[in-house]
Amino acid sequence: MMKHFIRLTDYTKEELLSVFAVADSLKRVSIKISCVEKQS
Amino acid sequence: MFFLETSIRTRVTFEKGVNLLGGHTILFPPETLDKKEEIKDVIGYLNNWADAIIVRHSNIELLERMAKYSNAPVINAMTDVNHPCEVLSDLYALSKLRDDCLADKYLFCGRKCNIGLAWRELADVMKLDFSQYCPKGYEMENVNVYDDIRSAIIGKDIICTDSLPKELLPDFTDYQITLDLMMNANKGALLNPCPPFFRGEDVSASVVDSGFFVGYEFKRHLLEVQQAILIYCMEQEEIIC
Repeated sequence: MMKHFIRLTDYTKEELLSVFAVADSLKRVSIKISCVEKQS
Repeated sequence: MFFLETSIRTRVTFEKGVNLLGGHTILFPPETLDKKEEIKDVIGYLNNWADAIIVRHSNIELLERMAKYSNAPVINAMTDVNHPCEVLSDLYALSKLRDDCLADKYLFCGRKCNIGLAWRELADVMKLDFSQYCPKGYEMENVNVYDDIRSAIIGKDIICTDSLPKELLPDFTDYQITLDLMMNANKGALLNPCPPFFRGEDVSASVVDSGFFVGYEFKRHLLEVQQAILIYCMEQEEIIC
């Protein structure tokens, strides 16, 4: 099934925590990009 | 994106988030969805081009009808009965500030409305200790409710508020969260007022200017959490394909 994001109760605790994990990875990518930009 | 022109935080972070991910946003006012054209037909055409549909609209049933026909994820950017992106971002922000935000005790001060109901949804899924403070007649169902703010705030870690329409202010006489009240919460407690908050109404000016306030930077996480929601929903789509 297609995943939509309409009600939090459509998700489990583990699924919402995996969204947090994606957010963490995005922040890490963002930090790495800014470090590379500073070096260059 | 179906958004009011006046939306600030959620819209800015969705637009910036999509652009940073390499996408482009096209903005429509939400009333675009209230036309005579059947939503099945609107979505049928959008399926040709849209990779995600982000909607702020009063009626959640409209979003559910959109989801029924959409090939792309439908993301709720606020309805009259919830605001999932906002509260999920808040919990993520708290996870960066607190030792164990899932073990904290949460108090929502305000009426039964989209913000309170979103917190209740989050509390149900994440098994949070969650209570509401409000006068009689404004309670949410299936929540521990206090009608005295001084009792309610004792033993709590995270105090969430939501502003009120002007016509309801007379019913909420002891509603304002002040410095004095926050002193009765647990040590290290935080005040998380849902913006827009109003100094002198839901919160006192001095408490917003104090260390209890989570700060404006608390909401910066809306950006990556909303990006993460988009990625998460789209990844589910790829796995299924």
